[in-house]
Amino acid sequence: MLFTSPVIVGLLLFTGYPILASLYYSFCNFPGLRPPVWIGMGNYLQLIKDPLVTKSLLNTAAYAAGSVPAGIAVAFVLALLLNQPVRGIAVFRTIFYLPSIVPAVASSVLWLWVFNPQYGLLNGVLGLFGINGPGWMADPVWAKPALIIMSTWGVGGTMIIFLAGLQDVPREMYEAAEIDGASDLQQTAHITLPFMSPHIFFAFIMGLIGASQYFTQAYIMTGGAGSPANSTLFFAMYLFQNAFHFFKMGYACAMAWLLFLLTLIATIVVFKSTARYVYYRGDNQ
Amino acid sequence: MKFGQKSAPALFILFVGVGIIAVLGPGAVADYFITRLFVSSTLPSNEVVVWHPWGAQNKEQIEELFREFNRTHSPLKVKSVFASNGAGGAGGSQKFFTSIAAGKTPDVIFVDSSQVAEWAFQGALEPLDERIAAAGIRMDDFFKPAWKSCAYDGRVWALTYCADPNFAFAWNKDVFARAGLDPEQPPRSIDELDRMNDRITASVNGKLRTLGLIPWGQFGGANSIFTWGWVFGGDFYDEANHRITANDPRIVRALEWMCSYASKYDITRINSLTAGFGSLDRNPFYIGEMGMTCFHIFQISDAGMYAPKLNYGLAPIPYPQGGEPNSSWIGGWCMGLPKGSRRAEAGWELIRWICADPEGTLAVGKIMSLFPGYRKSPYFDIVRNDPRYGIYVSIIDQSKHQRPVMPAVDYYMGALDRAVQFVLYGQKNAKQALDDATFETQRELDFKLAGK
Amino acid sequence: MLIALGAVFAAPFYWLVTTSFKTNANISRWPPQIIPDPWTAQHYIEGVTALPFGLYLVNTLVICVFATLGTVLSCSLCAYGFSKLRWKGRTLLFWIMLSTMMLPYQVVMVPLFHVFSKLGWVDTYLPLIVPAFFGNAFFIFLLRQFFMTIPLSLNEAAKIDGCGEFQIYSQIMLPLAKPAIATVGIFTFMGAWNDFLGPLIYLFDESKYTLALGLQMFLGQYGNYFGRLMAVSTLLILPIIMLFFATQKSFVEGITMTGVKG
Repeated sequence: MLFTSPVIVGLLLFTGYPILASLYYSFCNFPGLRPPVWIGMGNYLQLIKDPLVTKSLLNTAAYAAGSVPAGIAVAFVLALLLNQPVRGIAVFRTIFYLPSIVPAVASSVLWLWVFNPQYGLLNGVLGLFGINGPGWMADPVWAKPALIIMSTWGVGGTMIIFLAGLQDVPREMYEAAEIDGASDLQQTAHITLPFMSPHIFFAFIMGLIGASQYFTQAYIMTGGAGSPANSTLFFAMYLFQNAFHFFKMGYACAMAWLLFLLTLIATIVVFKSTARYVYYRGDNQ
Repeated sequence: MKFGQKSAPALFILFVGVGIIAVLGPGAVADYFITRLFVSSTLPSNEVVVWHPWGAQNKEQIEELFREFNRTHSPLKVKSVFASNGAGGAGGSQKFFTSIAAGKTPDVIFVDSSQVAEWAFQGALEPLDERIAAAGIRMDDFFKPAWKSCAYDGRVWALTYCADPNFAFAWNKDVFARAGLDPEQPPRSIDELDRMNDRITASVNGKLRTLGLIPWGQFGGANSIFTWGWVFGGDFYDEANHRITANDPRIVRALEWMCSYASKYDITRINSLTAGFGSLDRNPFYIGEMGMTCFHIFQISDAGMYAPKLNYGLAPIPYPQGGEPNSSWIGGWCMGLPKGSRRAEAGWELIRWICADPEGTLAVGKIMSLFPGYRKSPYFDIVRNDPRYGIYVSIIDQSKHQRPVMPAVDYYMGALDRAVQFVLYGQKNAKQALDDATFETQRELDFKLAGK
Repeated sequence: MLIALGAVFAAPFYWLVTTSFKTNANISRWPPQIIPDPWTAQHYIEGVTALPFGLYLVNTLVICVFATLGTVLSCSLCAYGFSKLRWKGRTLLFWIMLSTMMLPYQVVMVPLFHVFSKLGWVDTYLPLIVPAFFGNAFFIFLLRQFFMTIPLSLNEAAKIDGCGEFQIYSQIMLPLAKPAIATVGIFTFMGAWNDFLGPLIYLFDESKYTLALGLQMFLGQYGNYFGRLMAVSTLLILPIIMLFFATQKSFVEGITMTGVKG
């Protein structure tokens, strides 16, 4: 108990009050600048009827469904690659981490260039294989896949967590497997994966939470418009617009609590359904 | 603790410590930490705290302007604080929002001209009527649309700092010559514009190389439809009855025309010319990929920096038969006193000097190369005959419009933006899209006005 | 394979650096120049002199160091409590902590500002530093996952040897979890280094600004200093790269678990 006291105090002071306040605001007409006025369920009733809420929720769900698994897969493969004792590996580790430290403004402009339908790198490469690439950020159908591709490239953080996690896999397990004649792939599947499951689980939960609030890059890349045709209008972007552009902080709070509930449900489902697969070596409960 | 054994972190902290002492000098270190860990409760009484969103070259310019004020208004002193709006406005007005909600406001604030009514409605600004009257400032001293932007609900809430005449119509003379057009003849009517557009638009191997004009790409979808909607003779808001009129048939016609270019040349290919390069680095007009564009007054200096060889001319925007000749609207930024301004008296003097004083507005024009809203400013005599700025003087003299002055204008602009997108991508026709935008915005506005 | 992938991942950095050396006229060229021609250091000179660069660097470092210190200390303690100690309400509190991350920051920003305003901390570094000493849900969760993989038998053994909980935490857990602690350290440092919103909201005096916020000074309402933005961005991420390069070994050199049977 004593050990967790910082988080308890922190929760009360810096998290508890703001969270409860936002819950209260969600039942208020609160423009942000004038004091809140209680209106009961008004904001929530409006939420259900707002087509942009539905649209942005679906966009966010689609983005999460693509970016979370893809990000974990890429980070995992990279971590495996970077865990080899190769000369100069430190340089590669740094390089693969680079995208996650380049400022969003810079990376967004770069990716717009990569995705440019006519002159972009990606369609240029696809063209070499005789494929006529799609319009990416200029096409409502392909804009989200483009953002998902972009997200897999910024997985440096997850990669580092996996890399650190790989150090906990006992070496003698591999040695034993080697003796039993297991292939590399089998070793990965039967030793590395189970031992990494707490970290993959972590990445999955955090990826889910992160994806539910994703919007910054899409905001910068589309100039805040969620274009083309609302296809990149993410839930958090619409929430941001309501809070800081439309003077509807109360409505934004209601949106936030809806998102909170949905994320919480998704997280509980993930916790419950994966409990059997996550292997905590140190936990003998 | 074992963790500290590897001395890298400790060394690093040591390095930081030495760095701090090196930069500040040992004596100043204590002072440094005191100012950063405790707030001084006594603010100098002659200081006016101003928050502004002006970055890049404008930051240096506005600071020069404030120095000029300090020089002429001793002992008053401006404390200038850069309150970033984030990349492409991604930060919104978060700093102002959070601080005013907690009663920690600056003394003077800059407001986007379209936002004055909304901020006033939300109680974020102090009315200025008495001060304006006492200073002898009259409505006629300002360009009419600029003044109208600052007046809401029978009171005046801000004064115009810069009145942007939106827009002049720019054409690239080299692109015109290459397309076999007379480089000295810009289009005068929409029909001419369409014809020239067809001549200029050229593809190489199925890829669009040059384009005439992207009608919806003029500083965002909403500003584009405002611009063309007024050009086509439309009206966006009925002020007397608080009615949104985005589905005005003339605006519908304008939107249909705007989006006709999308179907003619394939929206994806057109967007690949602009895709995202809007605000941040590169403008297709600057590099000759686009022959014509609506040109903002700041772009005269911007193009001078990023495209010094650009050979272009400026003219009034072309208009259709039955449309509005020399159509334009006034945008820009205003200055106001936020609610809770502690040095309202000194703050007002700063606003008055910058926005409504011959000397101050002259300084604004000379330093920032922007137009004051104060029509009697001597700055206009200086630029009236300038080959580039001169055309903007005649535009602002005739300007009739400003964005709707009402408390849901940001929402309105979002709805218009969506309407443009829906039509561009063929998901709705122009009438339907604008009907929806009208309905949604009206609902929003009614809700706000009723909640008051 | 590594090299090909590496090129893909290094591209943005390459582009960032080369753009920072291009002349203004060439920045807007299309298609972009792969290699700047001519090279110019103009943006670096102008960028560094336009900002009080040294001062902002010091400001940034002060905030980063304190925030990192606070986060590492508080989060490792909490994570230990959540993973290795049994107490009533542990699961519930863990879930509450986890759920605090699920509410978007935008809606707690205003009330949180109220708290700091009431405390009289606005316009100081305290709102940027002090909360770090009270834990961060993300890092507690991360460390908990790592601690959970450390065999409980180690604890038991230490207890038999007469170690108190705090000793177990500092003598056994921390060294064993070094890769994880290093991860938390670099993430926090980077987060504070790049944070733009926090300093923007809480600081009311330009002399207290940080580099990430100073970077925004190159973006304007009317036109941008794109070259300077790129140049100072490059300067801003170079230390992070060096820090990462210097510490990357600690991500992988944690005490390997050989000999410790789970």
